[in-house]
Amino acid sequence: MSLEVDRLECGYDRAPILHGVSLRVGPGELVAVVGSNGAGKTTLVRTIAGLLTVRSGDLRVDGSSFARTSAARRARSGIVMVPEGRRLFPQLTVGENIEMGRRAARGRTGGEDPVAALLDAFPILTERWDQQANLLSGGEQQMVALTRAVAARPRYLLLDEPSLGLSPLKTLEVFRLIEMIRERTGAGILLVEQMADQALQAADRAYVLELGRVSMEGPAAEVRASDEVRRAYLGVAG
Amino acid sequence: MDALVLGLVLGGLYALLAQSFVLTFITTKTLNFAVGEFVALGAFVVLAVAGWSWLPDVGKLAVGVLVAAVVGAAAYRFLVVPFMTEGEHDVRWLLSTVALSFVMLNLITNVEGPSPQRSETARLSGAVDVLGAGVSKQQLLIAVLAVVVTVLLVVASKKTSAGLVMRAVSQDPETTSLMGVSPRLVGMVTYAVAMGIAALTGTLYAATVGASPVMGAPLLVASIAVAVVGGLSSLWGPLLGGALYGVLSEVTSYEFGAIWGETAGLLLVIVVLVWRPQGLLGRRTEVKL
Ligand SMILES: Nc1ncnc2c1ncn2[C@@H]1O[C@H](COP(=O)(O)OP(=O)(O)O)[C@@H](O)[C@H]1O
Ligand SMILES: [Mg+2]
Repeated sequence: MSLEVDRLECGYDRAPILHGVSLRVGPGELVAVVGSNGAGKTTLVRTIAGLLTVRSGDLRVDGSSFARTSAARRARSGIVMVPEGRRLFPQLTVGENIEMGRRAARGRTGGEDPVAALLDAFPILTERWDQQANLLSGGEQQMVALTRAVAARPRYLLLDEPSLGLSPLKTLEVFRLIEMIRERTGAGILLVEQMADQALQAADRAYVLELGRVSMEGPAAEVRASDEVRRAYLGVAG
Repeated sequence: MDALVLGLVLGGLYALLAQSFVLTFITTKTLNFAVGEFVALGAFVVLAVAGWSWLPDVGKLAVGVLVAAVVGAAAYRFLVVPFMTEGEHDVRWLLSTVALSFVMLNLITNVEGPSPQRSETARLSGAVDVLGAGVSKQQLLIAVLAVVVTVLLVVASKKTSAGLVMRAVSQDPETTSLMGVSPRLVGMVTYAVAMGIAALTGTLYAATVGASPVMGAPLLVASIAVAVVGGLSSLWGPLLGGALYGVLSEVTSYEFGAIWGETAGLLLVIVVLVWRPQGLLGRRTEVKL
């Protein structure tokens, strides 16, 4: 039972970007992928979500390959991505954006509505329900993007730099929301971040991605404590 | 006054067909330049089933609409999708739909011959008096239908979940696919609806001029003009564009002679394009992150 990326190679037209990346996310697990700008983090999550094609290697969920299925089908099977830059539908309201998320959960209903709990915990979402998404602040947009993803009833959730462009305070709030999503939905979460510290503190396990290769992996606390990571990603002078 | 009323009625015809362009543009950012031939296809399919006396006229219309819808969805899947794979600057679909237009024109001409054939299905004869102007009932029917279809589309886009999906796809197809909805499927459905509208227009129009392979051609230029004036991304656009274009060209040809009518209409297009490239009611495409 897990989401597996197996010796994945992919990229754009002629440029190969990932050179055999392997990683695993278990159910309910929070896994961080850290790496500097241009390391290939976005390429990785977009490929898992089905927006880029797999050149070689495999993607599996619970043992069966989904490397050849469409992005829409992956979303319907519960592999849900929150893209870099959030990508809300700018002219839809908050409510309509979240309604779009529910489309991916069609046929996988039952149990309590995962969105309801988030709306209770973050009343700002309800306050903004009828507002057009592009009028929200960056922090609010990220909350909506995460809620929209939860509406899709994710089994595995891919988060591409959720803290991008947010103040430290807003970042904390977003991480609080991510933590809550993990508890409420039991989804396995793959969290991609350039701001490594916060991600490594929140995660169970972590991978370091460098120039399209995994250069280190292990329990998040160990990765966070290692000299290379402290120097390269946490700004600690060596 | 007469020219004004006649212009509005004529604008209705163009507006109805312009809705085919607007619909496909909203969801797929493509236009089907074979729309004129879908007009003819609809008219001839209805003509072919005209003899089925057990089927009421509405049923015959529905057959024409359905056939055009299926062909339209297939045209999108096989002639548009493969030719828009290289991003926003890939406009090979423009050539492939023009090619489809020629192929359909030749096929229809081979089967049906070039001369117009009388079509009696869904035909209202006679005229009514509208503000002192004599308007043929059939033309009035088409204009009223343009308003009805537009209102239905607007309400559907605001109030139904299919409408929500349509608005989402128009804003960001990639993110729509992350919501479990295939933009390609949305495109096929839109093409089906749009070509169904073209076929409906064709049948009703054929009742006035007869069904012929080239019957769509004169409508094509005017309805593209109407769609552009109103704004290709606005469902209300065709009504506004149709009213302006229709009235302007009718009044001009009434005052200065027929050849100036169409010229004035096309001048209107140029003025709008210079002043508001997105059309009067259109939205500038958002720059996104
Ligand atoms: N659309 C694209 N076309 C070509 N190359 C790209 C494209 N997007 C990203 N790249 C390249 O792929 C590499 C990895 O980018 P990306 O996955 O966005 O990194 P990260 O998310 O870790 O910052 C970079 O060298 C970048 O220049
Ligand atoms: Mg990135």
